[in-house]
Amino acid sequence: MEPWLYLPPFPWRDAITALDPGVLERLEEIRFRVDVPVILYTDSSWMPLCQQGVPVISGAGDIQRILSILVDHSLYARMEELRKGYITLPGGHRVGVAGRAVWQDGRIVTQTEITGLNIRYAHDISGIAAPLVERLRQGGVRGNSWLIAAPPRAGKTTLLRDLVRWFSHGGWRVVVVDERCEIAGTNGGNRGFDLGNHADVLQGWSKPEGIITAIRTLGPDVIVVDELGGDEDLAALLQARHAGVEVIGTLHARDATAELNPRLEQLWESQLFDAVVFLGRNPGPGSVTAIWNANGLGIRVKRA
Amino acid sequence: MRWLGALFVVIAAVWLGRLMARPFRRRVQLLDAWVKCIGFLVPAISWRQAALSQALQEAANTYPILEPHLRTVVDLLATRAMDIAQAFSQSLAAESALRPRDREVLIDMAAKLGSSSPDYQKEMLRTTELLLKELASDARKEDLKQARLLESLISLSGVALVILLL
Repeated sequence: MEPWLYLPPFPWRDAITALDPGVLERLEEIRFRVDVPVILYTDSSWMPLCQQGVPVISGAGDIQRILSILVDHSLYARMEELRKGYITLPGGHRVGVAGRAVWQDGRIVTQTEITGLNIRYAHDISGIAAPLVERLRQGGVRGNSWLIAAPPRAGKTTLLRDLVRWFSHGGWRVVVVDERCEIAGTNGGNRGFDLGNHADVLQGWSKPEGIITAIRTLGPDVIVVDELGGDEDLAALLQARHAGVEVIGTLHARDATAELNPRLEQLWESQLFDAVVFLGRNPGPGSVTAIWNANGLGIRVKRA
Repeated sequence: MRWLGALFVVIAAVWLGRLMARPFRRRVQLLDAWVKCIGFLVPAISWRQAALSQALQEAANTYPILEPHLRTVVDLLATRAMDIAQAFSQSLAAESALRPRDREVLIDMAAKLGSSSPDYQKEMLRTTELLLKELASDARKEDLKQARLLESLISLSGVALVILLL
């Protein structure tokens, strides 16, 4: 897997590699915006990217060039991703793309006049799933269908990846429906992140189609999906549950206030999941803020 | 011995003529190869949607005359230090047989290569293909005529020299 530091081209790469190792370790995002300094975001702060003490500014041409280099000069092969506003890079790193939408026949077909890029570094942290599973078991959760709910940048995908690994190492047959190619980080048919010996990855499949295909052809014990959204996702997950397959998914949610999040409420009322784990960004990404069990009761959470 | 020397002079003159005419012939060969190469890239990009480096690599394997250029472009792109037009420009700079207009057409194509939807790429490549076909056709008329003229002149000069010496 390509080290993430080498994703941006020269001269930005030089400026990034010259950063203090402490900053590099905590770096989460690099944001390029037209005609303003490139900003680095760590888990707790931000700073401009500087070269020899001077903030680096990227113009419109630079941003086009960076995007072109990031996609190996093959934007034509990434039109569907670009239409959805992101590009996934080898290693599961995601680039959010901000530009002007191009409409055709009443739908967005691509983006042009790109004014911003957000390179989000995919973290791979082993060993965070095991304590969570233990906590769930201690809290009386018997089933293995869990929903991870959190705001953006709270570590949902990182936790999900380690859960895949935990189940896979335990001999469970896991199928990852990796619509955005972020969970597995596969690249050109090669393995990306270590997901153990019992995980299959459906890369680039839409969630509903991937879930149904997984049930029909791959005989999974657990199906893992990221960022649940529409009613089709819910219907496919219900089908999986009715087929006796465990499902683990993630959802964008601000906090454990179901009334404020209709999607969370809908998922909860569908009784798809045996537990909901809420993550927060304080004191750091991946912090468990609340857990609900099947009865809707909170499991006591020890603050880090 | 005299006849042997005369034969040597004639052979040398023919060889020199061919050597001098080589750039003219090479331009025609290169332009023909680029036309074919673009025909190869159209399905690779617009239908198969192969990564550009991979498509160029496959083209390099298919058209040996373009191999040094295409491999240089692929290598330069792999450094992630320059855009594709710069890579083409650098790669073509070493090719003396091409005329400025040939380079301009190829670098123009490179500037747009990979940066838009498959349909647009297909159209752009087809347009470049037509331009290169025109250049190749002109080259066949003009350059090959010049190549043949140069070969004949130098060879005849060799024969004339032999007659004078004998």
